[in-house]
Amino acid sequence: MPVSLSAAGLSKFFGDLKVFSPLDFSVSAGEVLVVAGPNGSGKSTLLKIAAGLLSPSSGRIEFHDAMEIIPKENHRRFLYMVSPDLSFYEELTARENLNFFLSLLGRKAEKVTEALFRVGLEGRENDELAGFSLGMRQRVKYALAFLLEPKFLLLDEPTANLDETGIKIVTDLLAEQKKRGLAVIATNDPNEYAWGDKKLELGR
Amino acid sequence: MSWAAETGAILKKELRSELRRRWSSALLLLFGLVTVFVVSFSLGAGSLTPGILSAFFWVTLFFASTAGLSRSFLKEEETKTILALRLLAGPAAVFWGKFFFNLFLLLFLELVLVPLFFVWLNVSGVNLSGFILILALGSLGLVAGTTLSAAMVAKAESKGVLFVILAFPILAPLLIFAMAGTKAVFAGFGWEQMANPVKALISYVAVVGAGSSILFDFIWEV
Repeated sequence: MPVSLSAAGLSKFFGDLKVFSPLDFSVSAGEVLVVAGPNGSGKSTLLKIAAGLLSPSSGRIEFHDAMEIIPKENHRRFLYMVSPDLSFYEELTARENLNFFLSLLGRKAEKVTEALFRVGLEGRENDELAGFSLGMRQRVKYALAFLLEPKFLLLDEPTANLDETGIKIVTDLLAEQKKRGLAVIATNDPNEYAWGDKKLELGR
Repeated sequence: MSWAAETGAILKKELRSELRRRWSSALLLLFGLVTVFVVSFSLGAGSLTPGILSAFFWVTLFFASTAGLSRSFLKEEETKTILALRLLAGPAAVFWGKFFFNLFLLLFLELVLVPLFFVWLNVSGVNLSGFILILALGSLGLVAGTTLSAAMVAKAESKGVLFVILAFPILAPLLIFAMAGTKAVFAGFGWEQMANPVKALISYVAVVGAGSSILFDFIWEV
């Protein structure tokens, strides 16, 4: 069933400080929206609002599945976000982290080994994240994206801390995502603008 | 996914994290043991009245709780794992998962502390079943109050100070009822004299437990 995302009159203020003016945009199934703009233009804030981690100051953002609005309490079953601001538990192993987040959504953990293989972490599944580099931790977050197969994927600075093979993981994920839903990417790397079908420029 | 299974997943994660790092249990145990040891050493066993003994017992549990149980949400904020939890977990499961974990920690402290408290302070002739009932009700109320306060404080600046400021008014009625009941127990009174504090504790646990569960949804929301 086709999914879509739409935002109307979306703005955000922190106290008197305006982060961005009212925004209107929409993303359809199979599309990738790139949110671009300089540092401080509100790209990460916009993604956090979309993920339900921040409230907008005005306006609304809606997620649709088969023309129906998905209630906010069900967003977690459809939506996933990878962000430098979002960490997994460093005292748990990669496998324990993935098992934990899957169990919160009632999902089975049978493909965890395969997902960790896809992100190049085979043989490290039973190591605590405390011993992982930032790039490896980022890969664990992508492993969860492969496992959850969300309809809505939000990526904030998607290639932060990733090497060449890590960047390939992101492009593979986006190719899959376009088949199952849609994605929104926040980036200020011009190389990543080409990944989008649409572009929203903030800070203008 | 049932609420119980999701709550169980959070409880299991909390227990596993605690076993690996011992963030809260060490603090709880250290605070409780040092306090009881210092008081028993300085005042001497058998010199305290039931009123002072009961006050001392609950003050120790209160401060050990504020020191140890307040970590439950603070740790998630500090390590930025709270965003992943908010993204993928339901609020009710988070509250009750943390609640049962904090209850487990407090029971662990009490298992160590209570026998030492009785031995070091020479407490005897108590109505043991009455004591266990008051301790159980008091612990449930203490955990409900501290879990809610910890969730509120985790979002604020000046977290350490704010926790005590927030937790105290929530927990003050509980401490008064628990101290009254424990005083009756330590004085060797029967069930008749304990009836009012026990009823008050049951009411407190029901109101704060239900209230915390409902309020937590709003705290967890942005």
